[in-house]
Amino acid sequence: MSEIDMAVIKPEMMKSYIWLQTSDGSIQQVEQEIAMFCPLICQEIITKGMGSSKNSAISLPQQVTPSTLSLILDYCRFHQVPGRSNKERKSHDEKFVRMGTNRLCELVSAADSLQLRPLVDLISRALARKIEGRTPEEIREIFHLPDDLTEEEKLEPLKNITDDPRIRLLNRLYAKKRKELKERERLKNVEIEEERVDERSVDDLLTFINGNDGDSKAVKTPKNKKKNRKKKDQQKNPSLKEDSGPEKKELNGHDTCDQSSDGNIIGETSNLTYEEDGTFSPKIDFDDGDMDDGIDPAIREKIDREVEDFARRINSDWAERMQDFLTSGRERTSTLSATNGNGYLRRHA
Amino acid sequence: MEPEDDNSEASTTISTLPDSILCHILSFLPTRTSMATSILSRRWRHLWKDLHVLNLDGYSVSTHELSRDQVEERFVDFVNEVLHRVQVRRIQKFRLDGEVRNYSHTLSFWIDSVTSGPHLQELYLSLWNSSGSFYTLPHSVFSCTSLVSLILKGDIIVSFDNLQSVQLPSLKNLELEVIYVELDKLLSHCPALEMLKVFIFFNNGGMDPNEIHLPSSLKRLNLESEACDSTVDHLEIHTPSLEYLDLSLVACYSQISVMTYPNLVEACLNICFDDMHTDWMPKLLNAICGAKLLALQASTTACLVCVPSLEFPQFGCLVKLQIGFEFFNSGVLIDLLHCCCKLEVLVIHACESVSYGCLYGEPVEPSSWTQPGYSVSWGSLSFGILAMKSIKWTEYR
Repeated sequence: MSEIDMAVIKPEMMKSYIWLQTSDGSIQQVEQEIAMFCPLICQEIITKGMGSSKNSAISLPQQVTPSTLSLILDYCRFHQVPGRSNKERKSHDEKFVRMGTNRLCELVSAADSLQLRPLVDLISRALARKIEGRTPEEIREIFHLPDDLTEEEKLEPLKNITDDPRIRLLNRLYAKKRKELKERERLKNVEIEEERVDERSVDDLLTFINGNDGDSKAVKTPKNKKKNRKKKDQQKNPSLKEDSGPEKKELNGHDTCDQSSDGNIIGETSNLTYEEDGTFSPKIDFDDGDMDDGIDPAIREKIDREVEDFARRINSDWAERMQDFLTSGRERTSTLSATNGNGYLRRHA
Repeated sequence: MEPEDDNSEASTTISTLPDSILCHILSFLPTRTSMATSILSRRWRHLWKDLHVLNLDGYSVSTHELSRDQVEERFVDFVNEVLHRVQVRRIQKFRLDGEVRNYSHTLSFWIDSVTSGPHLQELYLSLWNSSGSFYTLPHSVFSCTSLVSLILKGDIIVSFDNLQSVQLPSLKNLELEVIYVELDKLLSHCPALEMLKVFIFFNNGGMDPNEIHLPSSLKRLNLESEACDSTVDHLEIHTPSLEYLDLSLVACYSQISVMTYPNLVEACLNICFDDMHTDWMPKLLNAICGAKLLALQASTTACLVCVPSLEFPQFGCLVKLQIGFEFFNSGVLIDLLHCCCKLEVLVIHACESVSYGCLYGEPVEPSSWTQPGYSVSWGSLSFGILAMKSIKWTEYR
């Protein structure tokens, strides 16, 4: 039976009509080439041979009501014409999504069930625009969302465990680093000059031991001083472990909640602060538990090395740096000639 | 606000949509906003964590009372938090715009994590550091076999120590606007590349000879180079599927290899004057003679004027021609128009000074070009000089 149907369809490809049945049971006829724009309908016609007659009407998913179907077909009718320019299509799309939120939701659901990706994207973007830049209250109103979280829940920091052990380690490292920074701040306020002088010489020793270039310690900004002090501390326990491994301790949110509340830089008192421009931003807390020394020192070193690099860069000219980089790059490649640098150097001559 | 319809059908609200669609909606938002939707309602609490798309904007965390370093720290905190909570290995699109100077190792850490996931399709990094420091892209990006689109902008260095491990078999879209890239090395490992957009600030990886070979799968090419002092020895465009070509060559290109492009639809040429360029200009014109749309910037026209005994090929398919002049040269224009039998739209631009080289032709005072351009409907084939003159006079007015 389906073979006969297919034979009937082929010669009349351009003008033939397809029968579609919507969620309410009603059946309508639609130009085939327009309906074929929807992947689901296309599939039904080609693989199952449905839709050629009223009896074998393609029954569409239940999300497709008659009104949404007609909108979808309007969209398809416009876009299936090949000759349109990008500007035309964009302008049509902009007008197309000007409708109420509920209709948009209905439409996106229907388009999704028909696997009409471009329309799903278009409507999703439109709905995203309705969320962006609005306060939570406004959003709840627009989308009729129940305000069913308790105040407590709203303030509670977000918890979840990521699937990447590296990220977990990194997070703990940063939490620890920040904690130590805070301690330094407090100490700094108590003891002043003498401590810094001491630290500097110790730092020098350490960098020498570690075989770094001496120049990075030549000039220090106050900020780097802070970080170098911390570095000295950590390097008291040099050891190289492997850069992997699952977490050793469970994440424990409770005690660090209060502790890191002053480390909470983005949010303020409530979980979402209402900022001047009317948007809201998430509260970020570190719900990592104990800061033990199980954190990989190799990573710590890496991250502290950044500080040295940064200090070094501050002090050298950009051009010099590029030259450094280029020369070291050329050492790696096989061809080597002094004149290679000319192309670049000429620029700065 | 847009008109809200009468909520008679209370059932069809956003809450009836499945999680997958809600997540899809969130993927168009900056991640910070998505994260914040977790307080909207119980349903939305954990929705954002299933995001496969991250849009991390470092500029959005800044406020005027914070210093740059503080902003960066805040941003780093934020990204760490995000990556801590989403399924990093499921990320399909990762976009980061920001300024990262003190935390470049952390950034590499993030990138390594994201690229190790088997689903990563799009990576977008835009790092504009005001201090002049630059960021070396970690190698993990170049062995990300699932990557389809890679866009890098800013103070990023793209260089290769070990070419063997570079594999980008799925890469179709590459956009580079970075301070330093070993372009040829990179392109040689992108066998499936279809769209390429490069802005070369600088000499091309310091290689000797300095060459650029484009992958043969290329369909769209946008090449802009502004390396005034450097020379590219050889630019090879052997791309039979090429549909769109945009060349903006300010640097000197000693040699270009082209071929006829049977699928070419549109070509834009902005080629500055240089003795070497006049050598291969005719070859290039021949190569693009199948185009339907052609745009020649003023610098190109100036260059054309200086080509000794220039003969235009027949532009048999050309429908729309845009041509710019600094100094109007009717000779060139007429010669060109003689070769365009199907031309329908002609747009002539007057340009600001494009100063170089020898230009001859009637110089026209800029003030007479009051309009930037205009379109004429061009009838058919043969036209006499008379018709041309009348058009010319109209322009002057």
